[in-house]
Amino acid sequence: MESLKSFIDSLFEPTRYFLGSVAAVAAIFFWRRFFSKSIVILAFFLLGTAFFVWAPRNDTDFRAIITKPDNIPIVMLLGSVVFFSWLALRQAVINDERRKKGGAGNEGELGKQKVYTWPDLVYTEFICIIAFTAFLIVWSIVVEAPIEEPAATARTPNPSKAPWYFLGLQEMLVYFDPWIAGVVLPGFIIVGLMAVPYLDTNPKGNGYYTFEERPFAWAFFWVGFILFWVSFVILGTFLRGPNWSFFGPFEFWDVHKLEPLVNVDLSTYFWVDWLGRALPKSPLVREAPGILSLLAFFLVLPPLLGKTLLKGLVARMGVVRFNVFMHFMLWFALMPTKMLLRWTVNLKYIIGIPEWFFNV
Amino acid sequence: MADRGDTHYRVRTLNRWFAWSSLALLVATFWMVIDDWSRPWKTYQKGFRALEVERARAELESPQARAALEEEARLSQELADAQGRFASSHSELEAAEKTLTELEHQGFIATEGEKKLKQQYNWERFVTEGYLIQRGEGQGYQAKLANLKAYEDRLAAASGVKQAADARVVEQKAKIAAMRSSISTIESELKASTRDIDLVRKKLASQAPEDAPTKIANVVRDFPGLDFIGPSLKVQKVMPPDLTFELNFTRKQRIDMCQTCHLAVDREGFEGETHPFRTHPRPDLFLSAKSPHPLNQLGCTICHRGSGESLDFQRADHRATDEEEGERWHEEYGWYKQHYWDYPMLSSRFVEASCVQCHKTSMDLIAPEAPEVAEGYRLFERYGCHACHKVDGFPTTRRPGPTLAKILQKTRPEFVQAWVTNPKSFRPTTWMPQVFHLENYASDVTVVASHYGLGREMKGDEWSDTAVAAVSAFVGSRSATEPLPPIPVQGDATRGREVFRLSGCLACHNMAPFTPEGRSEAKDPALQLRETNEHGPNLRGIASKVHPEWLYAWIRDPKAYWPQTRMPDLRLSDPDAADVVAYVFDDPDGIFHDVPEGWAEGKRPYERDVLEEQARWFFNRTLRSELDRLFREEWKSDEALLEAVGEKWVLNQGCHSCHEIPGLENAQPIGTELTTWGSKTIDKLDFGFLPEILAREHGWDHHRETEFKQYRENFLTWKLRNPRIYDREKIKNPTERLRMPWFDFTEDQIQAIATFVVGLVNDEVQHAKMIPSPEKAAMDKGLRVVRQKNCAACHVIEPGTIEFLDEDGHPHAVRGQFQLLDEEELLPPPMAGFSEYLADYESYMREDDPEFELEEVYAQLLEPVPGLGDVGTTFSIADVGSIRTKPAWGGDLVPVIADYYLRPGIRSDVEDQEGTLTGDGAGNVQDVDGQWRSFTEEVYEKIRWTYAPPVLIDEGSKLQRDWFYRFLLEPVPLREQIRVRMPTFDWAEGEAAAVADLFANRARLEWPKGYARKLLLALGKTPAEIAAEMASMRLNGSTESQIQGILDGKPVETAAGIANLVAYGGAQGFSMASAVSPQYETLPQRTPSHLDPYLAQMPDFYDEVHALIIQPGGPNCISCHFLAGDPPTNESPIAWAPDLAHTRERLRPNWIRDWLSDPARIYPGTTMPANFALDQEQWQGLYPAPASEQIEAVITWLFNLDRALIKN
Repeated sequence: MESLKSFIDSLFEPTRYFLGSVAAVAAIFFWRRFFSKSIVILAFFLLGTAFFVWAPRNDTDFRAIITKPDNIPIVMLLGSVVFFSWLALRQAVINDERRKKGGAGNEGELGKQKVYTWPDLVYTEFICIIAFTAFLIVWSIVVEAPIEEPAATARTPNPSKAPWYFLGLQEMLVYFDPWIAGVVLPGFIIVGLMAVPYLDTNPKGNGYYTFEERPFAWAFFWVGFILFWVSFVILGTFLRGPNWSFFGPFEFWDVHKLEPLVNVDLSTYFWVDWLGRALPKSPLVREAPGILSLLAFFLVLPPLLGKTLLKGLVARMGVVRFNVFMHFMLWFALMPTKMLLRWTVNLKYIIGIPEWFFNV
Repeated sequence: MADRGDTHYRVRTLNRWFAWSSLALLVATFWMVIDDWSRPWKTYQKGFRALEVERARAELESPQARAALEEEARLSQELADAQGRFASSHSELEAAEKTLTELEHQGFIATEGEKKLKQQYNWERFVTEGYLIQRGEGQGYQAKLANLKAYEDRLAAASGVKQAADARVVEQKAKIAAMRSSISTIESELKASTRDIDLVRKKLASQAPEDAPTKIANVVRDFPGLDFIGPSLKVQKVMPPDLTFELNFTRKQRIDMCQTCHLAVDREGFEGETHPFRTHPRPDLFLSAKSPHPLNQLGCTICHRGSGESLDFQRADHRATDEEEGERWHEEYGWYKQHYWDYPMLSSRFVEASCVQCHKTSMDLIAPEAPEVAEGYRLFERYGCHACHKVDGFPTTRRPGPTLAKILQKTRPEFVQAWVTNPKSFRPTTWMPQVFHLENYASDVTVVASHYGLGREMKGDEWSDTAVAAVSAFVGSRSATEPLPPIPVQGDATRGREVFRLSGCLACHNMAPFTPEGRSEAKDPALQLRETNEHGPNLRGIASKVHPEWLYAWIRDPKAYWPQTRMPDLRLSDPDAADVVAYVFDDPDGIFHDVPEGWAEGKRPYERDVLEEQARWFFNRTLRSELDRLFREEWKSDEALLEAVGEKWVLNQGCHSCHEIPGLENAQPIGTELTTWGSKTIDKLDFGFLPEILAREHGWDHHRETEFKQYRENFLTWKLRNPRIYDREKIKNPTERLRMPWFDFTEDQIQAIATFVVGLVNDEVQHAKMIPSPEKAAMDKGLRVVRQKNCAACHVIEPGTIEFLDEDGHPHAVRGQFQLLDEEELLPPPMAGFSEYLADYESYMREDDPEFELEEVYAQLLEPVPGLGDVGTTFSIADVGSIRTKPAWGGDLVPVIADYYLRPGIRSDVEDQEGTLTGDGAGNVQDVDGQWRSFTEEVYEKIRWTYAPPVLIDEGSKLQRDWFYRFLLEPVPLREQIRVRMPTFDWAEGEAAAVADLFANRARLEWPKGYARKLLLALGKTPAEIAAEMASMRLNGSTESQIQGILDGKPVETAAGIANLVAYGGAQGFSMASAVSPQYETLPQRTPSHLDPYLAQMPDFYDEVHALIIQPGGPNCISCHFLAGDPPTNESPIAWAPDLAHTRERLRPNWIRDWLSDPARIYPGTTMPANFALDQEQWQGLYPAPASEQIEAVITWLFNLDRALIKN
């Protein structure tokens, strides 16, 4: 029992958790035909339910985390996101199958029909609102909507967590300087989402589910939303404990847990570890490796890729669109890159100039 | 909406969905309102209401109520009769009432008319004035003025009409009242007789209404959603003014809503109920309006903590007394410790902690009411906690341990080493804690594992031994070493024993055997442990510790060695001191060389490499190369290295906090500041791995483990039990381990100290400016000094209390003492351990007479008790089994002294001791006068009053405060034959004055009680009778309960009623010496206005009284009293009494008045006879006047003795 718990705990070690999630997404996409079977989701839910019945009974720490009134919606989120993602994938797989056989998509016929705003949309929405409000009231009565301790500026709660929907942003704060994690990256998320209609030149997949016609969009959505948003919400809720340390689901949230981290800037790696010399005095010289590699990342990589691997994409999108798109993608890629560098080689900053409050 | 048929969803279905979901929302909304409305406290309030109704109904069933109801029926009948009779004259009354109505009507019209005119007049006046100021005195003005005049006349006329109308109304009313008079008398009688039951009825009517409209109204008032208007069930709150708590850097007003459920806390009569309807204990002290802690001033949470604004069992942060209750709560209420509130409720075991926040400067004063926390405060000082742990406002900064500046003059380095290793191995009762060889440096602990590359593990034992060697080397290096001068006189051990026993050494020191078995076997009172003789260290084995020269110097002048010592100067002469030293070192009784088993004095082994390792740790900021050089050069000799490391150890372990060590006087103490420890949030306390360890040991679940960490008290209790426990299972480097030493506290001591420390909070009450009155502050300081100087070791300050049931089974609690059980006994039964004593006595008696049964015990009153008698009255207690005793406060030395005089040596533990004291071996003893006397010659009482330290009960009424103060500063011998010494204390500023003030204030506070009791005894009346008489004398507000309150010494009743009682007593011809004023008191006896009448009437006044005093046929005072240095004529020192010349400066005339008339009423058993008994004719041949005037004359003479003697 204990070894099983510690095995599960070890699975949730951040690198494994993240890389495992990436691998899981890849696997689901690769074997999507298998995964979109009803039996799979049924098995998944049965196993999941069994787990959520078994685990809290056998572990006080796990029970404490998942039954905290604050956290119950996240447990619900877990099930609903999985279900709806699966449903979409299943629809796409079925459509793709049909298409292969030469038929029309599932929604093909329906797509030609029209429905009324009233009552088919607005009325149903209205009913949903009423029912959901009733549900919320009942729920808050039953769980006794939680109140926390009296606020005190001198003693913030530990861990001090953002609202659940911002836990993804809060997670980024671990890896980036606040101005990047709190301003630049959220800005790019918004601008990037706004730019999608202008960047997306693929006309397919309108009004019906399909995977094979839009593999990139699927991958991007799953990685961006499910991995980087939903899974960070789950991670932030269940796995981040006091002092924002990482805890396995069966681990006790010990305030005194130490993270043996000595994070080091890239400049230290470059000058001290590789060249075996002291750090240069001038910040610009000192941080030259970081500055150069970031410049290369943003300036060299797009044309290089455009000339080689993504030649077809440039042709389809045009140079301007391609470059804008690449920049969004590179900013996005910076996130897992930095996370992995932090977890694996304790990299603190790629460019670290605290003198100028400029850290990347 | 009609279904068009072309929509995706069918509208009918949607409508159904809409209807059901709306219904669900409606239900949810109602549920929300009801859920919000249904609160547990409402159930409690309903329950309490039911309880009150039940009580009211029971009250209406009581015999008194029945009697009142019968009376009511009778009167109602009478009223009906009277009304019937009155009905005959009905028409007349009706007419009169009609007239009255008419007249009142007219009066109303007249009044209104007058009002109207008055307004008009005022308006005209305003207009006229305005005209004058704007236009001047023209013609127009004259016209206006005339107009005004006219109004004035009309107003006067209207006033006349109104007055006349009013007068007619009054007249008519009187007429009607006269007609109705017979009825009104019965009506008012009825009202008076039913007042009490009417109250009950009214209460019933409001709590349990019987009429439907009120019932419905009550339901509606409390209905969900409507209960915001004026509900009958509502939250009760107290907002004590100025009491706040800290929240987010601001101070927030306390709002305590506890009373919402705890409905009867401030109401008497609910003592027997269960929570939450129980009355708060001790309503005389807490919550009632007349108590010092009224509810509306203090609320609840200031003392109990917890969350006062919460109305829910859980959120109020209730706290179980013990685990069992916690378990029960857990099952009943789903209780757990909510961790969101920083100030959890104090469990009842710790609730006294809250006294500290207000009473930090009056802890000694509140000791009788809050024994636990006061004990903690005393222990905190006694064990010197304050030396390491700073506490702002703690009344002392004295270092609790003796100075080490001259330690090598006192003892040997080998002793120091062995002592430092483990002080308790030499003296198990020492309050010096053990510092080394504790758990986190235990023998099996690896302290360092080759940290600096020495290549070997060092274990706790060698580490500690080396540390001890270093510390003692360092302490020795800082000590003065020049030898003390030799003892100038050759001492005599036998005489020394006498000096030792009789001078008072044993007041503060004991010589108790080390083991509990040995202690219980000790017959000699000098070897027994008492409350007070642990003030100084146990002297057993002392000769194995100190040098004789040091002991001699120390006894002669303790301050010379250690200026801060508590040991006073007994003013022993050189030979006396030398004798004591001889007694200690010759040790004929085998006490002073006795050491516990296993004690061995000697140097501890140490190892150079361990020492060097310690140096590396302590000097870790010194470069390694530099250290290596030091090891080779400066620290080449072990001595030098030991001293260098020793200093670091001393600073590390905090030896300097308690002991003065030259060079380290200003070093910082090592402990955490505790000033506001009780407010520290628990997340700042490092419990280490203790919760996990305890959980493992006791199989605690997760909740229990977390709960353990939620309470500060737990941290403290375990820390005091084992100060190093939080290092358990931790890996720490050798210099950062926990350092608090181990005191070996008992669980009771731990509880007490923890209670005190938990009470040290971020002092909110300072914000409310609650400070004790100057009298209270003075008394507190006095009590503190009395404790520190150990006055109670010699002097009885308060008599003991005897509780028993009398023949009728009524309980009594009186201050008194037991009488001898039979003639074989020498000492009266002790108050402490009385029942054990009786059991011993009975089993002893049954050896001869198996049938023996103790039938009664005699006791003597030490306070006047109405119904039993005055001071000195002996009474018998037949129900011996019912006796409970509370020992007297003080006088522990008295048995030791009395034992010496009564039967010298016989109780000594060494069999053949008899006769080795200054005795003749045949049961005779040589006294201070050199006379031999048989030890059975005198009774205990006489010995006690002659040779033992004086009793100080009510000393404040006896002594002039200023003389007392001077005496404390510089004692003068009062009784020449007494051998116990009043020591010369080294008083700090204000201390002696505080003691004198304490006694004066005590006398002032005790006086009303004594007055009331003596008054009752003198008049032979009960409080009820006196209250009735006082009421008839219009001494208003004097109720029976108030008089009872004065008799019981309750402050509130006393303050309210004593003046009336004294007025009553005066009217009854009762007189008693007036109360003590703690301020300056005048001596009228020395003033011309007092003296002149005597001298005018009797020119030879001084001679006359002198003759009365010294005549052998008269009172013959000088038979026992010294007179201005002349010894008494009686040669037996047992009767010697103080010099009369002291009287003028020493005693209060009021006290002498009572004393001369009946000394036994003040000191039962005193040898002073009642020379001037008020009810007897005596000495009229010598001084022709009644006894009371004789007393006045003697007092006048005594207070002018200087003048009288000059004249002679």
